[in-house]
Amino acid sequence: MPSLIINKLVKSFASKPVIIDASFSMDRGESVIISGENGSGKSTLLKIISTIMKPDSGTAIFDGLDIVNSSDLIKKRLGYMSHQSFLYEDMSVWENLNYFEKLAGVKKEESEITSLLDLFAINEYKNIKIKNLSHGTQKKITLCRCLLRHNDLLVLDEPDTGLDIASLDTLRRLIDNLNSTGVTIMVVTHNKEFGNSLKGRNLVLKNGVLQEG
Amino acid sequence: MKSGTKYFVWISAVLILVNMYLIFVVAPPDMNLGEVQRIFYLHVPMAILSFLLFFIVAGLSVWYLIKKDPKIDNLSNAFAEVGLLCVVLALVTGSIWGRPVWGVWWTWEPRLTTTLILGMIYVAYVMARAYTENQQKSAKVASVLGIIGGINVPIVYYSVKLRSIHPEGTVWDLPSSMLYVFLFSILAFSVLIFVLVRLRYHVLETESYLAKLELTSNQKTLENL
Amino acid sequence: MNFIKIMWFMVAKDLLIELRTKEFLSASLVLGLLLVIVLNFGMQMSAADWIMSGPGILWICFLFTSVIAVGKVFENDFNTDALLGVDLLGLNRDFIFIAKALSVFILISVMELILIPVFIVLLGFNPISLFLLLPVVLFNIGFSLISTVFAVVARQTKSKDLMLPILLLPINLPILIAAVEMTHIISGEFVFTDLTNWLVVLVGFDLIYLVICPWIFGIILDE
Repeated sequence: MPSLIINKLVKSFASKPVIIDASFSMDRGESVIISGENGSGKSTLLKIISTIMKPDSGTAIFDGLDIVNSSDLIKKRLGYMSHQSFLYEDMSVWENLNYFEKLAGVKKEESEITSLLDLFAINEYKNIKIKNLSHGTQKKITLCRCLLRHNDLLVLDEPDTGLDIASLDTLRRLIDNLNSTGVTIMVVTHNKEFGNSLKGRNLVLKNGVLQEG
Repeated sequence: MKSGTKYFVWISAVLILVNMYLIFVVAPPDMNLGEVQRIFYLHVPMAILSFLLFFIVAGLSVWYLIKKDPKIDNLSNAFAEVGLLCVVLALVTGSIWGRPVWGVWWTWEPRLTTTLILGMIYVAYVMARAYTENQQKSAKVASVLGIIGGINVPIVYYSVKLRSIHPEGTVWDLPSSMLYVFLFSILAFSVLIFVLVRLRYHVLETESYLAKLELTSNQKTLENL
Repeated sequence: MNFIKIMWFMVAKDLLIELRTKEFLSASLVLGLLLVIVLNFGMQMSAADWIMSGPGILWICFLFTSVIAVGKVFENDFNTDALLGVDLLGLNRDFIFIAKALSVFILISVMELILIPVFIVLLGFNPISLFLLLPVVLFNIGFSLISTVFAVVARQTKSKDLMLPILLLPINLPILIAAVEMTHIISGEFVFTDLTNWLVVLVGFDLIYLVICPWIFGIILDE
């Protein structure tokens, strides 16, 4: 039974069609890598699946829940990473992650912050304010932010941009590990090499239609 | 223009002409104020209608937020734009009336002040739409302003009224010869407003339809690629 | 996640950021003083007129600095879409709304409490009265509720810094009028019943928007 089923999603902005037919399905613990040209609508597709935007028509069902109508329930099981960092720039790395972790309802004993910071080797930046960090490091923290709690669905919009080679390796392994624990993952990337190195189906969003890559 | 609307345009034109005749020829001059008082038949209906229209905008805004139908948004927009016109006319005619009667172009009397504030809220509504990029966003922004503005107007009126111990007459104090002209005036302007809203709504719906056509054609182009 | 905890975390975070940067409090103090000075020179009033206008000037300054407060409180949330990040955790939007409104409330209250003694000296008010807390608290509640909604609304527009005051000022007029009138009354000899009409305006405004604003906020937070 596929855990994520997208059927004929359509989205336009004013008179500009962005997505005219996005249909695919994913099993639990599967990964899908979506690529496409700039402006092809990849980010829009991810935003729709992450409940941020509503599609003009079409359906998206995750684990039996309609993403449009049951967005409250979906949000509790979803981790989303976008181009924006979602971080507070005047707070430190630790303060940011602690804040989001607490709001997510993660108990202190189950805190993943230290292990995540170790994983990406950024423990030394723990007490530094976000605005004082390099773009690449901010990207790593943005990634950590969406991994603070267990999510059944992970939606990552270009998680690889700005990451160094070691971190790309770490990310690759992380995605594999998460898949093996049953997390369904969608990744958008421009980086062909990175995309090919991930175990998962390749899809291309071209001219508004999602096709096998 | 749809044939139904054309019919109403003619009715409206006739009503307005009759109204002008009644106001300037039939209605008796006021005992105290003389001929100048005639502007009252233009000013008061405009003012009443501008308030009424805003409450309609508020109602349509609530409906839009619930149903999210773009047609409701276009209708709300049409009412708001015509409402803005009414408010401006109400304020201008009020000033024209006020100058010979009170000696000043403007006074901070409760009803005038409330009308001015209502006008500012209408302006904010129109500006908010102009300053927002896409239809969905501007609909949302405008709806919020429509609802909060609509609720606020009675509160503003109550607050401003509390400030001044200004005596007010009501229209029911008018002698019947004037009352009938006044009521006819309200009818004539209501029909005019109905026509204007209808015309504006048609224009907005046509714009939406054109945008949809453009979208469908763009979609087909993409599909053929 | 229970209501109190969420409130605490969200409000504490806003206050922490403000305490650290001190941007809003310092800027609003300076702005408040500048406004009083500018009004003084602009209006050319006699000493008696000045005292009569005291409450009005006080509240004009509060209103303008409060509008800036709102911009400041939400700046951090909108720069990096952090508020969206919070919403995506699946929290109840009513909680998010109340937390943000509470942050605005606390910031503008602190700003006003600091400015009041300064203004009393500059504007030649009568001695301070505890009753002054009534218009201050009630105004702040109403203002915080409305401005939290409009901050999100203004964000959807192309120039949110311009639209925010245009949206906020007309809507907050009733509570401005009520606050000014109450402050006038409180500055002189009065009985409590003198205040009742204005209390009705303020409390009515606050109650109405306490019901409507969370509903609207929940609907418009989507993109």
